Amino acid sequence: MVVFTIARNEIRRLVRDKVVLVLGLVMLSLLAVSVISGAGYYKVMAEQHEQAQELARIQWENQGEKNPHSAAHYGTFAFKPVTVLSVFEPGVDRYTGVSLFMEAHRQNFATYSLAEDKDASMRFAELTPAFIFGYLFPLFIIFVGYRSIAAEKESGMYRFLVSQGVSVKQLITGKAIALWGIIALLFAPFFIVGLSVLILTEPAGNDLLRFFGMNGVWLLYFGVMAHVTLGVSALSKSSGSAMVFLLAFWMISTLLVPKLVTNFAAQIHPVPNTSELYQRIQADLRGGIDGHNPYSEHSAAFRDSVLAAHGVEDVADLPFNFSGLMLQESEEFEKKIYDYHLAKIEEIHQRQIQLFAASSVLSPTIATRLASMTTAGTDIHAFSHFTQAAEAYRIQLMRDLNMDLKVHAVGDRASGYAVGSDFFAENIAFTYQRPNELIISAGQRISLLVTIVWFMASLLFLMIVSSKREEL
Amino acid sequence: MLEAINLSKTYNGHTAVDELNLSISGGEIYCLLGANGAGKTTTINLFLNLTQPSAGLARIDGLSVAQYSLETKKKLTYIPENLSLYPNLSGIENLQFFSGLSGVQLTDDQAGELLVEAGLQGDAVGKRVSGYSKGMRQKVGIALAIARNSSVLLLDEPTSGLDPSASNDFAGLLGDMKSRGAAILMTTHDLFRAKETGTRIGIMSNGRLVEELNAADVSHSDLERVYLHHMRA
Amino acid sequence: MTHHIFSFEWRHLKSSGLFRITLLLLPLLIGYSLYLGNERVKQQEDTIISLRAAEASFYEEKRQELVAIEQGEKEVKRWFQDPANPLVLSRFQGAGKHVFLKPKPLAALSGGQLDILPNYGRVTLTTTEPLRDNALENPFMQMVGIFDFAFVLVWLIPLFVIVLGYNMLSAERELGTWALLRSQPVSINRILAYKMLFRLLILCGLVILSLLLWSLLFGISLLHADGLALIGVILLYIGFWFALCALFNLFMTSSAVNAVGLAGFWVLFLLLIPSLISMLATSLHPVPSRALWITEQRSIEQAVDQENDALFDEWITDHPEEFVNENAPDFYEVWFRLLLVNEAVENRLAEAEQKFKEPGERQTELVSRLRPLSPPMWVQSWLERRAGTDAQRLRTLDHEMKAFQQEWYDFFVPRFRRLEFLTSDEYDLIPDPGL
Repeated sequence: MVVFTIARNEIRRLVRDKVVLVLGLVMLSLLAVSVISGAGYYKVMAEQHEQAQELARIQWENQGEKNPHSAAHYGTFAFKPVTVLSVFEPGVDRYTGVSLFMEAHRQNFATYSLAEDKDASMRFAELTPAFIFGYLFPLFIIFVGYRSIAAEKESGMYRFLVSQGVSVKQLITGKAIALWGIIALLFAPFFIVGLSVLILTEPAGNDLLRFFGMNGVWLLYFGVMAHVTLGVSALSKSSGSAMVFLLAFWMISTLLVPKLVTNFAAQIHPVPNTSELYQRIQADLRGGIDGHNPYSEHSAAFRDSVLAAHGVEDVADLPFNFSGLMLQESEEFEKKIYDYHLAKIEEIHQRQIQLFAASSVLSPTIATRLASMTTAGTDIHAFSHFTQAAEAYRIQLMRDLNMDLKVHAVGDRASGYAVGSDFFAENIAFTYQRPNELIISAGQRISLLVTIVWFMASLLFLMIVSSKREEL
Repeated sequence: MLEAINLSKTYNGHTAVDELNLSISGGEIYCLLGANGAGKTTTINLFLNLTQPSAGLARIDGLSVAQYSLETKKKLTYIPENLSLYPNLSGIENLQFFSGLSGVQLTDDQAGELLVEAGLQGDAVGKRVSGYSKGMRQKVGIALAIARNSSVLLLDEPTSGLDPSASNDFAGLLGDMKSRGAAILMTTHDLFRAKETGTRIGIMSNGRLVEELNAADVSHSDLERVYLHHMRA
Repeated sequence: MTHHIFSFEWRHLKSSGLFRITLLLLPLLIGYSLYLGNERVKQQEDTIISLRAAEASFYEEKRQELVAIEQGEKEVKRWFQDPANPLVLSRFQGAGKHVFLKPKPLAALSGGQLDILPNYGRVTLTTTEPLRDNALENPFMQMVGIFDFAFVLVWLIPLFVIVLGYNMLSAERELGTWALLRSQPVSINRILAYKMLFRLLILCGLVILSLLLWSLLFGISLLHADGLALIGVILLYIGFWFALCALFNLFMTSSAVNAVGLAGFWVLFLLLIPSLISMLATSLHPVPSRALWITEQRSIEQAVDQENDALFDEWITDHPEEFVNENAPDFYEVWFRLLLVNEAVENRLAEAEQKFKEPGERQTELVSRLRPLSPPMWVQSWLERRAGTDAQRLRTLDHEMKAFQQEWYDFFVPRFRRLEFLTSDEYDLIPDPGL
């Protein structure tokens, strides 16, 4: 087959090219270093988080004798789970808070992101496979492929081959197979090492599936870069102009569009600042029951309605502890208000990301980055899934505490009612389950789709180029 | 006036030009013949001071090229084998640029007139050089020589790759330059053109000037015979 | 001669598509970055103004109330609403002051770490709350980072320099015009030097002029020592990349080799070295997870809480004269104890937090030693420091807040302990962190 002869010849040429060899080895060593150092760091983090979560539970259980509602104010913590996939694709992991304080009456934001403690040099570039594959590897592909057809034209080899009866389609197909071969040669060792690290760290749930998905996304991205490189090389008059064009494409895709679009998105979909948000929440909270202020208009109305329903005059005559009921009632009201306002923030974030995803029409890097974060489970949706689980836990814990107060703090036990470690030990514990599905939000599907569309489009581009230049 | 006095050039033990003695006065066209590697281009480079002589002297109008590099360059115009100009500039602009480097500032009209004088079509002078043929580019070189009023012209294989009619045009231009009193040194492989255009003909072999003839004194066939004789020696 | 070569070099550039794109894009990018920077600084200043105004009106309201009470026009209803009570003025709702890290003159040019680290905070008697306006921002934005002039300068301008400089001389050789140039009565080195100088001037001029014009338009002042130093740094940085281009060109390599080689250096300085430095810092000085800190904090609080009585007794024994025994209101002892506990907790927390802060500091130390390996990292860090948006400055906020809290404490706590309530005249003495 002519195609394979061309491919074999091209691979032989590239493998013998010392610069290609050195760059390939640099890529492999960077990947190795990033995976090894990342895996070490992951292990430490995972241990520390596990330790912290256990400690938080012990502290909860041993908080001493107190009223269940005091315990609700004492609160407890949920710690963001660490996933081994963050070794490969940390996503927004460094920038989201690691701990969430769960207490009565309010929903808190996660605090303490890793980025706050680390040195700022991290923001230049962080050596992870996602960074290497997102930024450096495309450059490698461009470097390996920019000459493949343009140089043949410059040297006259192109005309010679065509005169030998080789069709342009065969030539480009052969070169494409060769370029894919080089990519596979570098990707395979990474894939094997990555998989081994994953298996050694005992992957949880669907981590393996996620790993395959993430690698699939990267391969699609390399495909886009390889096809564009070859197409441009075939269309360019000289290898120099192919190089300049491809570098410009790389720069626009990896640097310019992402920076411009995020900042533009933040500009047109601004988030309120914290004090604004709390002012709005406070204003809305005044419109409902305040569990700590029995004199407030809404609380009084609620009390009267409860008294009326049970046909008694005084809360002490109720068959249950009234403040337990009222605290639960206000908790539910407060949750509604918080949910409403936080959902609004979430919506702004979503709009920003939608704009960002839309801009991936100009930048395959954006589409890939979003898609690889999605598959790795390190994107903002995965983080929201965690905070929502924590919130569900919080509200359940609050209900349990309030119900205990309501049911048991009656009669002579009402005054000075307290519970101890026996009770706290029986409270539900927070365990976080990662979602079973890879895709948990419609927005995530878009980035995956756009990645596939980019791949198909790049393939189509290459096919058009190879059928168009038949005559010379 | 171009003079070479015992001019020699040795590169890593290889003698490219060997004790060359040459004198070309104004109004003369001296054609240097020889095989590839005979030392023709090195001779031109020695006159341009692009390479330093190992021994001897190259002089232009009595000034040593090695000592007065920039002064002697003011007097000469060099047209390389493939005269490359800036493709994104027009003929006029290219002429303005290169003449300006030797201190001759030309207006657009002046430059255009010079180009026409050098044989370019009036409608071509304002167009980008990227569309020029080799012959047209050489005419820009001649216009440059006229503009600078050069007393010396150094031409390296100017007619190779020109079609016969362009080659003939070019010979006519050289004739004009000759009658302006320029001393012209031109290397070539074209025996016919040398005999037709030149006033004197030198044959170089292995760096040595092995024969010097008056163009008027030899017939085409004699010239060919002498040339082949030296090449086989 | 200079003028002659410059004017023709200008014609060459004018006809180059890449140059035309640069001429259009670079000023626009600089303009947009400065616009965003200016908005950011305006927002910071608005925050300062509105928070200072809120503080002022809180204390003015309390003062008027106190004047009314002093003149017998009004009565104190409850102790926690008494505008003379030190606790009301130092700890309760609405009390306290904000400490700001004010934007420096070059703040609009570099957002630095402002999207991650707080730049102001609220201080009360018992709390220090670090704040930043963009705390609710999408973490995705932080991942990508701020688009600011520093980004344009450090990341993009080198690319434009490379685009305009990679083939300065090699193109001349590849075109063949080199041969003709060498036969001219002007030294070729001089011609080439002028050609390069012209490109350098054009690039520097384009950047500096865009910077100055947009700054003028947005009202960003550069007429100060830092502004001049900035121009110096910009020239040096462009000069550095330009010199790299010149070196490649002088080594007689082809345009394609130059392009690849220069792009390689760009990757090396902007991606490779920084990522290796950051990795080295992370693995040599790993930052422990704050999850541990959270739980540790809690155990310290619990431990101190259990020593509540011991702390109180110890204090009373040491300073018997400073405790009002007779006729003290109910809240006195409660809050007396609370402040003691709080003080003890704070002291122990500060000690314990060191092990979470230290690795970060070590990292910074290491990175600052390795930074000269990458000129872009150096320029970025220089600009951040001059803009006051670098991590080191922002991390001093904690210290500043603590320092002011001490002042606040020293003013209010002795008064509280002696149960000396404030008079309306004494309001003027209330400490202020100033700006």
